[in-house]
Amino acid sequence: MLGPGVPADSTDRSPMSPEQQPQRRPEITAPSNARQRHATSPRFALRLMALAGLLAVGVLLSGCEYFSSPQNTFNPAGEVAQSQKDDFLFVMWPALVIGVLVMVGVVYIAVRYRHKPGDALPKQIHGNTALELTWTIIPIILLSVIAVPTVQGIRDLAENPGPDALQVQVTGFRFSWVFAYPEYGPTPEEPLEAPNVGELRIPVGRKVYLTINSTDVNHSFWVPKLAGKTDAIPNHTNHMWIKADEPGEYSGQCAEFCGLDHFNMRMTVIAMPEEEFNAWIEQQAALEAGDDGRLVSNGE
Amino acid sequence: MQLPAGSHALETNTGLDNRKLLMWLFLASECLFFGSFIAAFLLYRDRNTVGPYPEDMYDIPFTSVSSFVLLMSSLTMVLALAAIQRGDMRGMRVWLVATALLGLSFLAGQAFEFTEFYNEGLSLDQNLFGTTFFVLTGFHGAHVSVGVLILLSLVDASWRGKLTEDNSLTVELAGLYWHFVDIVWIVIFTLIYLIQPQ
Amino acid sequence: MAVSAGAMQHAGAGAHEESGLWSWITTVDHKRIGILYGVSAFIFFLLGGIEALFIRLQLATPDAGVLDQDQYNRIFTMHGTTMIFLVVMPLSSAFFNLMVPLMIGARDVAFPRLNAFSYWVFLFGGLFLNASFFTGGNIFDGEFGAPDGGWFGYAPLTLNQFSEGDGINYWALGLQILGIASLAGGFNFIVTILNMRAPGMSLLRMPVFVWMTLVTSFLIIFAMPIIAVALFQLMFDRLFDANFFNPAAGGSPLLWQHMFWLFGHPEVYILILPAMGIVSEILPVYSRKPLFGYPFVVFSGVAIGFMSWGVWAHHMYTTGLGSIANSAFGISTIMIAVPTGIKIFNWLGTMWGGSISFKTPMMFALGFITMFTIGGLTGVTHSMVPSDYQQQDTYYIVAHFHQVLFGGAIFALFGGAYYWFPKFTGKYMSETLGQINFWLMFIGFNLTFQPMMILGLMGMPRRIASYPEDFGWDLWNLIATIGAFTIAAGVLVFMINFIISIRKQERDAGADPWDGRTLEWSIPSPPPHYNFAKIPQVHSVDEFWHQKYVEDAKGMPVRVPAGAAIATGNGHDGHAEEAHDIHMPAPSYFPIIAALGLPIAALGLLYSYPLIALGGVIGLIGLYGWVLEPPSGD
Repeated sequence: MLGPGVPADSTDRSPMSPEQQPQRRPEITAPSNARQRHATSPRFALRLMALAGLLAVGVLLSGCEYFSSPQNTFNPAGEVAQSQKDDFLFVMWPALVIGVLVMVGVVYIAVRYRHKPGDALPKQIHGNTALELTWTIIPIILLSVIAVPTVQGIRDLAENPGPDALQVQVTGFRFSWVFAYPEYGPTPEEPLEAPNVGELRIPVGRKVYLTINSTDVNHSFWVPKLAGKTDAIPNHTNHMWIKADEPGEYSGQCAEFCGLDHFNMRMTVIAMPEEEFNAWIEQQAALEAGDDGRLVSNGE
Repeated sequence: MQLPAGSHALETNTGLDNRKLLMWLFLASECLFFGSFIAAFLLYRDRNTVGPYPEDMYDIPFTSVSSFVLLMSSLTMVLALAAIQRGDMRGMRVWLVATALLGLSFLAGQAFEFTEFYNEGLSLDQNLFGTTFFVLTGFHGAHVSVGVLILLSLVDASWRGKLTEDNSLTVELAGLYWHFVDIVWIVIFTLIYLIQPQ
Repeated sequence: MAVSAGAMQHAGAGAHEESGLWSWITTVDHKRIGILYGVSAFIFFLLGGIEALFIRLQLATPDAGVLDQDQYNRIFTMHGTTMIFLVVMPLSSAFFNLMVPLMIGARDVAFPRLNAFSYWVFLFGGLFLNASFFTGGNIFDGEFGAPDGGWFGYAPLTLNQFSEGDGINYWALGLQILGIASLAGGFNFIVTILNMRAPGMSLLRMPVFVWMTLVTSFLIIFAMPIIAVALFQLMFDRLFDANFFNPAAGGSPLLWQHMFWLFGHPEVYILILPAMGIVSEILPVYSRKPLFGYPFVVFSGVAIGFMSWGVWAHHMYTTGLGSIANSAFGISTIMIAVPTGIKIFNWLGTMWGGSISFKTPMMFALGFITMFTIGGLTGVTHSMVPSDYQQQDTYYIVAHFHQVLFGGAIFALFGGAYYWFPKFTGKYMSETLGQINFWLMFIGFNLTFQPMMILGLMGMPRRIASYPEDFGWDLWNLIATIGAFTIAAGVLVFMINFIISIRKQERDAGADPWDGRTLEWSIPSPPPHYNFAKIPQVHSVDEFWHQKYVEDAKGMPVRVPAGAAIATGNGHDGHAEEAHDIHMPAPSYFPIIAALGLPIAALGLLYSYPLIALGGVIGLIGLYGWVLEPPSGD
């Protein structure tokens, strides 16, 4: 039996002897019929890309209604969410450029270097060390640029905003949230609880420092227009500061799968002007005091 | 015994017999296995909400003796391998049995120790210490038990004439496994028993 | 070349590939095992795909009412678990099995029975996992018992007090069984690749697909033990009241997450590296040029393997690990983009200056490059940690991983199927149907997952059984659902193509239908039982190509005239073997028996302890029989 790689004659590229192998050119270069050639050609890809591009532009131009949502991270109403949007765009734009370059590159290469009948085999280039170094070092440099605002952003968002911030305790449980104000309860160990489950009221324009816990499984506190999310994990207290820059009602929901009604575990953050907020706090505290006969001695 | 491919070391690209390479890879992955349980123990060491605590439970002298027993079983294992390599099949059987007996003594010591702990209030569900301790040492004990079974199987095969001088690799591989299980115990004994956080 | 000196079977006169169920049950032939893996994984792909279609039907409109939240949670858990463990991993194993021995000039893997054992354990694990559907009551009333904790099973949600019933138990035990299959395969392929290469095939002369198999196998043998431990810990908590994840006892949910992702991140590279290997094989053949920068493509794969251990906590940025940890993992995650980019540039360099043919395998490879680039770039946006606080747990992440796992891995696996189909059947798959298959899947894929990037940025979290009407998510979800059904149409076309092509009468492809570069194309299609009549002597990378062509002074390939190969000394290595002298390992029924012990023991753990003993006995019988198998082939 012939060993591998020993062709029987110059046109037969298989190692089998002719009796065992029908004479045939490899299909890789043999066009089967015109219709197939049309379907496989890069022209189809080009047309598809053009169509996709038109669609994308059309959608973008057709109006913001398709991008409007009470939880839209691209429509921030708070300082943290705004910085996160900026951070995202900082990476997104160069990534988009690179992505488009690669797409265009692939199609360009496909068109320019497509096999045409009669073409000879191309030069067998094995590599280019200078090119390798270039496209290793340049990405390292570009990526290192991302590292700087990344680390800076991590630190900024982790910083304790200090004594001027409003303290809020956030407790997640299956399947809602309770909020409390330790500064406004009769004692710090008895925080003033917000009256409505799932509803957090905060003053506009002042940083709010959240202390986040869970009493059962993992949850995640997320009000996209104000800030990114922080997980609520039993036995592990987390902190996050947020700040609403405009008055309004901001929708949020649990962002860590927690079971049956995870999909409906929502919260609303109501940001009110400072004076309104203070008045509301006093009113709540008075209701609490009236309930149990103790005077409010803590906070403002 | 069926000899698998690559039984002749000369014919493999690395020069290592296929089965020997397989055993080393297996032991490497076992490092991750035991490492994960050990890590869980160490991470949880200070987080117990209730007792009993390690310092209440450990009898270091006792465990030192059983550790020594296991260490000696590695010596007898080496002697078993040396015996088959020089063609002394009876000697090999003697040392394999000795290794198995020492291993069983170790396991008996573990059983005794665990029973004591249990009687003193440490159970699997009692606290983090109970959970992480028993599961870690339990899996180690399971590995020792499997090792003992392997050793006794080798003795049995040798009795029936199925394990001959040509099969020294098989004994060597059993030895690798046995030494590994011993080394894991050294690590456990050091990190879990001896080194206590201040 | 060392082959089984023990149980032997004469491959020459009288011996032929047997047919019939028993021959498949006892096979130890890597080619058959590869086919078993491929067919089984494809069936699970259909199952996981149907689960996806149910998800998309439920989410096509707000409050669609197709599934209630209980059913939804079980379906999405099974979809993820199935696609990762029962589809992409075993499809990769199918290609490891079919291709690695052929590509390195070997007659089989190092441990053929261990290979068979891997397959049967996988099959039993997949069946065990899916059996859970039937444990919830009347399945036809929509009462599923399937696990509902997500594919990632975060504790303490998966503990008994929050997840009643057996679903999570089936999930954990099923994954343990599957882990054993993966480990066995990992060990087998490392030994095969390190020890059984043809003479002259140094590591840097191996095909890239073999390299990626090697790296993936190392990742498997180090990552699977970690999840095995996590699953043991979970099962001890669930079955024996242990405290590993019990918050009341001081247990930490973060321990689960760390362990899961220490496994989970290398796992995603386990999922993608074989696919990258397939692409690295397809591109040069259809560009008629060698892989550009072979050593760099190889080393970047190895680098990815190493670096994959240093990024796991990027799945945990929002859990409160602290600024230092988040920064460190942010930087390591940013940096892992570098070796990935190197591969993409080298693939482009391969095509540049080539003579490109757009057959179906090439279309899938191009689909991979474009879709994986998008997926990788979105990954870079995740590594911008503060931005990830918004992205995490949203549909933006869902878009990212489907981009790389479907637009990446699945595309490459389909491309590999079209590319190597002729090798194992001697026939081509239909080009027309192949193009339709590709474009339906490509268009469908983009329709499904690009809107998800928008949805994530618009604040839609993942793993939600439905969403409200006035949140602006309706249109994009609807488009995604239409896309999903488009993908389904593409898959249907693939199935039709496969069946039609298998049933073609004429074997018209021959040994080397694509003018290939690697050794598998040097033997007949389908390969004989023993693969190589004569083990080749290897002199370079792309050995087979260099047997057909030499390069002139300008680097242009020149066809080697027939007969010249003999003069150059190819094919002769001193010990020529006649076909009927080649001894191959005998079939065995012990691997399947040993494998059977596992699901039986698992069922015993859940329902009846004596059953554990039964499973143990069966497993031991299989094991002892295997070890003590008689040496003769009589």
